This record gives sequence, structure tokens and C-alpha cells, in this order.
Amino acid sequence: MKIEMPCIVCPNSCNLEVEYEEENGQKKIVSVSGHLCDRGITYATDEITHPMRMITTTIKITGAHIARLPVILSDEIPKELIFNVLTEIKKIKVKTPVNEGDILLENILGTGVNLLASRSLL
Amino acid sequence: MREHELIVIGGGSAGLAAAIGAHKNGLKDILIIERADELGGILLQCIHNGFGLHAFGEELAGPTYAERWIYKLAETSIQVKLNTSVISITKDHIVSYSSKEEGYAKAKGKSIILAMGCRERPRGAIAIPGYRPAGVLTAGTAQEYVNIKGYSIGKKIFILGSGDIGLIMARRLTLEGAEVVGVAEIMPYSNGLPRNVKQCLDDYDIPLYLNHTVTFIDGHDRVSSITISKVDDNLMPISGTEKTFEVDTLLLSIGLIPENDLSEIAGIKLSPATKGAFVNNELETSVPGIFSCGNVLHVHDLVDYVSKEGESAGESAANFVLGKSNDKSESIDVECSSDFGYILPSKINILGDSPVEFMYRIKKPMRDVTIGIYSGDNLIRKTKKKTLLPSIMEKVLIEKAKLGESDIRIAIIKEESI
Repeated sequence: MKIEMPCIVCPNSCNLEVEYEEENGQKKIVSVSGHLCDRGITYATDEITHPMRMITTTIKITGAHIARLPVILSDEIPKELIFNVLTEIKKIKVKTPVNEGDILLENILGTGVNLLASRSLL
Repeated sequence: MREHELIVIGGGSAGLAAAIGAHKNGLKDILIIERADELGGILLQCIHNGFGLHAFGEELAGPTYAERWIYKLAETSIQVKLNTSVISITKDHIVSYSSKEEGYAKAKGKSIILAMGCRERPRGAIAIPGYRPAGVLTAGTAQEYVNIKGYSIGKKIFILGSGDIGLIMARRLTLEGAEVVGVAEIMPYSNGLPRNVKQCLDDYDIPLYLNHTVTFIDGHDRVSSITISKVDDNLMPISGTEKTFEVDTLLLSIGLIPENDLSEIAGIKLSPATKGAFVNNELETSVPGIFSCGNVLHVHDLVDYVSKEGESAGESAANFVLGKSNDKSESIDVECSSDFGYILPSKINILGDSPVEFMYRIKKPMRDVTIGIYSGDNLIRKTKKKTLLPSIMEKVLIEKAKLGESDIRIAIIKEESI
């Protein structure tokens, strides 16, 4: 099978051409083209075999001049876990001071991925 | 009246980079005037990732990207006035502003950099018929309400316009538990980056209605429903194609306009194509010593490019103040064929050796095209493009020596439009 897909890794939005084979329900990449960097190959492979996504959201913070602290994951998680991970994230509240990069939650749902503050609020 | 070497209007991504760029190039007495209560601008509400790939080689969330620049700024002697609104700028560089601390005050800049960013087009800009209930807001306002203030803006949402902010908000609101029932786009293609259509709409099965626009807003205290209609080739609604959605909120992501009210007061010439200032290759406007960069010059799709442009404007302002600018008496004009939305810069000083970076945007999507840049009748650069999209700003760098002394023109050599 040959398909076209936009790469979502960065705003370059490369238009990838991906060729893959399917055998016994297992998908295998044959070739990837149209990518500007190697991350496009990783993305296309993941997207065909086990899609991964980054998520960002906000959590409640007290003591700061704004109500919400923006947060980001340390790495991508399997796409099907997005809403489960969000439920875990929404359980936590923090107080100032927080520094950008502070770990707010470790190894969320056993994914090995941490939740990080994406700004400082002192 | 206090005189500074440089006054930067706006402390968002463009202003931060501009001040730092000027400092790097020898200016010491720099003032940034920012109307909000902190630096960082719109980046602070852009909590999604994807910022900084060019500037830092990393993919950062918007607030992290802003913080990196704010830290760079803290290592310099650059001064900042927060909670301060600029009221006017004159041709001779006098900036009037007001703040709680100083009341109404004035300062003079040997040079000025405009970095005020852009604002969103509101409902009135496209005159959507219907009632005027609560629950109609621009996507960027919704972004601020949700990401900074922590408000819930609605439970069932429709989005008009497929610009990047609208797409990002479709995903954001879905993750926050709202139901986004659809996105309508009047053009036959999305105005956002392809990656955002994929990861913000397709991932959550949010339908994108191309060739559709909102033709009625119903509701008295609060939006109760909206109606969309298909449009014809002239973008006029086709009767009989109406679809009604029961929603409590309508978000508008229908374009951004550079915020040039101050530039107009200063008598700076604006381009009808970009709605920003006409600038030369040093980012200098029609008023000597006043430079423009970032989204107030033209709306960008990548913040990294805003920062880079800001730094260049900073360098040019430093050269101007330190008497290192090139003589501007001889210049050539730059124009584009009708396939293009715009090309920048619009003028190039013949003197000076720095290569010139051209930035352009196509008007409608095209595939397998060759772009030619001409100096008079001579083709000086040929670029093959597999795809060209209106949502993606293209850049091309050309050495000064190649540009020659004739006017520059960009055009499509051959095309197969999709």
C-alpha cells in the first residue's frame, strides 16, 4: 500500500509518501519519502504501526498571577492513552514557585513519561 | 524627555528578539514598551508544542520558548516598561505612552522598532447574519480564556475558519472535555498547516466542511444554534445547502491583521497586500530609523521566523544608530506576479553586501511548480516546489551580487494547479 500523509513532527509539515505491507495483521514499512529530516521516517513508522502523540494542557496553580500552569509531557505517549493520561494530569494541583522543566508527575500510567511545567511561575 | 538609542514597541516574540538583536550589535540603551503585565506576548497562551525547532533545535511549548528569550534579555542592560500603552509615534521618533506609574509621558528613540504583532478579525469583519448572543468569540480570545484564565468557554462548539489557531483550539477544547462538532472553511482548502489538520481534527474525528461558511447565528442570551451553507465559486452561499448545528459557542478563526494603528499615526506607508509596512531589505519602513518586524509586518506561521526577523530588525536599528547603515540613495523595487499574495522586502538598497532573504506566500495551493526570480529579464534563481500552500510562507536567500541593479520580480514559470 502506498499512502500520502502530512508529517506532524514539526511545522514544516512535510508531505510524506509511505509505502507499507500488511502480513497477518502486522504492518511493515517498505519506504518513506518526502521527509526533510529523519524524524519523518520515525513518525511514519510509528504512525503506521503504533501512533504516538504529544499532549499539552494546563493544571491549577495557586499563588501565581495567573490561574493555570501550562504543562507538557517529557515525551510522546501512545495515541490511545491520550484521555487516560489527561485524567491523571487533571488530578493534580500545584503551588508556586514552579520552574520551567520541573517534574510534576512521574512515569504517568507506567508509560515512562513525566509531566513537566512549561513555564516558570514564581 | 528621556532619549534612548532604541525603543521597541511590543514585548512579544518579535520585540524580545529585536531588542536582543540590537544589543548584540552594539546598542546599550534599549527600552521595550509592553502593554501587558509580563513579557512574552501571545506565546504565553500558545501552550501547544512545536516552537523553537529553528531557534533552539528543540520542540518547545510556547511559554517555554518565550521564557528562553526572556532569560536572554535578563542578561543584558535592556530596560522594560510593562503595563504601558503606546498612544502615538511621530515621524521624528517621539513615543507617547501612558502607564499607572508615569501617567502620560514621552520618550524619544534614536531608532524605533515596531513589534506590535497582529489582532484577530472579529465577527464584524465578515458580517455574519443572525442574532448577537453571548458565545461568539475569536479563537485567540478563547485560547486566552481557557489556557491562562482557566475558564470553560462552552460545551458544544462550532468553529468557523480553519486557520491554525482555530485548529489548535478544536483539539484543545476536545481535550478539555468540550464537544467540537465541526469546522467550516469558506475556501476549498484549509488555511492551517497540514499537520494541524491531521493532529487537531482528524485525530479526534472532527469534520472539516470545506467550501462552507456560517450563514446564521441563532440564540438570544446565548448561542443556541448556528447554520452553515455551502458556497459557490464566488464564495456566495448556495440556497438549499443549509445545515444547522445546535451549539452554545461559535469560535472565529478567520484571519489575522497586523496591528498597525501606531504605524499609521507615524505616517508609515502600509502595503495593502500584507497590511503591514512597506520595508526595504533592512526592514526599515518609509520613515527613516523606524523598523518593523514580526506579525505587525506580515503574519507568520512560525514563531522561529518571527524571532529571526526581530533579530535582523535589531541589527538594522543598531547599524542606523551607530552610523553603519548603507547609503539608501539607490534602490530597486521588488514585486510579484498575481499568483502570489505578497513578497517581502518590497525595496532593496543597492549598496551593501548582505544576502537578501525574500519571503513570499502563494495565493492558492499549487503542485509541481517552478518559481522564478528575475532581475529585470534575467532569471537569477529557479526553485522547484512539490507543493506550495497559502498557509506556508516560503523563504529564499539570494546573494547580493546576483541581484543586480534592475527591479526584482517573482513569478511562476510553469504550473499544474490542484
